[in-house]
Amino acid sequence: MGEKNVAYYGLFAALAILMGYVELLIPLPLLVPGMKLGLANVIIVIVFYFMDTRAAFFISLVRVLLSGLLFAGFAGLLYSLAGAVFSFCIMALLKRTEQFSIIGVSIAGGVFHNIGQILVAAMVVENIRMMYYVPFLLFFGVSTGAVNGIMAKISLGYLNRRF
Amino acid sequence: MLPFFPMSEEGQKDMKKADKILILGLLMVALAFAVFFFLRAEEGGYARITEDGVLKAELSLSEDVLYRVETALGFNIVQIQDGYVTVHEADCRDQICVEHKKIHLTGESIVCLPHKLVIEIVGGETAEFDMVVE
Repeated sequence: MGEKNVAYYGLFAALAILMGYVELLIPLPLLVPGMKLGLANVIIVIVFYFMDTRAAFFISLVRVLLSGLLFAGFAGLLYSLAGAVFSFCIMALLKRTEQFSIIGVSIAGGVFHNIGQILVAAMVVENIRMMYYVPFLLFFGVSTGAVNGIMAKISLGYLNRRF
Repeated sequence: MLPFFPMSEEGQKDMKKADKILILGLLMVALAFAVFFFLRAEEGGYARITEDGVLKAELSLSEDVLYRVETALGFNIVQIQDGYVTVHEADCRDQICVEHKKIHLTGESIVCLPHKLVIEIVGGETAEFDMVVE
């Protein structure tokens, strides 16, 4: 790993954590528990394309652990971790097929982050009724995922030109 | 597009065919879930309160009541008014259950994750018991 990569890892991890914090500052009508903009996912998606899958995995992990400890407290960590791992696997898979653009990858990541969290929540309360929220989270995840994907695409164009 | 935000090299075709299929598929699944719950939803008869999967109480929606649930991790005060269920007050850390909209159709639920408490609406004219207090 070169020095350049070390710098990139640190930079993107910091950005991802920061985006998680920015997201907390944006008030959002909470219609459904687990509903989030997923701004941090913008950074993860950028890392997927600007660096590689390996880097995305580690940065995603660092982000979840740190922002979990900083903002959410330890209890929230479990949900974030499940969501992050779930969405990472799906994004890595979709990217590997090379059939999807960055927007598709971002949408899948956003949606499956929500699904992962709901699954853990359903297990915690031992109630399958949590599935009631799935349609809302799917609709919401697709729209935020698309917006995030477009943001990532635009940023990536800029990054690739400069670095 | 503004010159300040150049698109990446692949050019202007933003989405591939697979993306559209993915979006369409996800929306279809969402719609299927929504229709499934919508069709099954009816005016509920009872609010069933469970903590960590264990039944705590069943409250009839026809009587207005404030019911205090003591969980292992704190309390929630469930309010039933005009056939609608809300959480009036709770000492949980996120207050999501308190801010949740009122529910009255079968299948709807309010979940308080910090307390592992679920309030769900179940149908039926009669419940096996009016109230279970442990």
